[in-house]
Amino acid sequence: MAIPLKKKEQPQALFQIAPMIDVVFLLLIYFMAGTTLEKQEADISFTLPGVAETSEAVDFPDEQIIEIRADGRVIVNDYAYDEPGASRLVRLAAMLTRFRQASQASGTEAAVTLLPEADTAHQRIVRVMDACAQAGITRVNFALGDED
Amino acid sequence: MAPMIDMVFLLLVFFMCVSSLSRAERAVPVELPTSTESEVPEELANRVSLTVSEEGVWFLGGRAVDARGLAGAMREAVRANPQVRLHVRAAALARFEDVRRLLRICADAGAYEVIYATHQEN
Repeated sequence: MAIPLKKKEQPQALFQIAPMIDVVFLLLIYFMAGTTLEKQEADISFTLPGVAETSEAVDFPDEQIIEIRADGRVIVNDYAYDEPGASRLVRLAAMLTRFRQASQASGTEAAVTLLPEADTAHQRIVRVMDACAQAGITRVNFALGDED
Repeated sequence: MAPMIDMVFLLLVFFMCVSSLSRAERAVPVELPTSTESEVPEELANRVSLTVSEEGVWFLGGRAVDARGLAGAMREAVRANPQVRLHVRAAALARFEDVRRLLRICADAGAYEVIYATHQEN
């Protein structure tokens, strides 16, 4: 009986699939880890003073103005809260909490306007916004001035 | 076996694209301030990303802009989408004056919702 020789001569067409899957999975996991390792950016938000809708009755909120000096001092009504270098503004947060509760009791909304000096570092402003958020005050504004 | 490889390759390409896209979106690396109260957002729609470097240079996306360019771009963005929100990525050591002028221009253009980007801190 003649045995066909052709089959034997054919080169091995199969390629190694298992190592390839290994490599692909490795790459996949590398990219997945790479995307999640990057430090995630978080949000803290506020609203700029805009044009008021005058057709409705305007509720005037209780307002506190917080000055933030360039050296890091945080001043409300001529009184400085917390140390200039403190990373947590505990006393400011406590004062703002009382302020919010007082406004709530009188049925108005507590609002805070930040008035930083020109040279105040951004980090310091974010710390003050943290204190506002801790106190539960959601209305935070910036005094932007009129001139440019 | 073949469909599985297809799928794995698809996932691989997807993650490669996503990682390079997210890098392109915030091309300007700045040292963001840390914050205890910030939250990682779930909704990322309607955002215009503005970066303020430590030296006070503004970047719209990855491109440096001056006051006039920013005003034009913001008016355009507000016209295209009135619900636009400013995503301000200011460096921790950026001066308020530089941020203030940027906010002023954006407020004049009609964008009032502002989000500061921070890193979370426990």
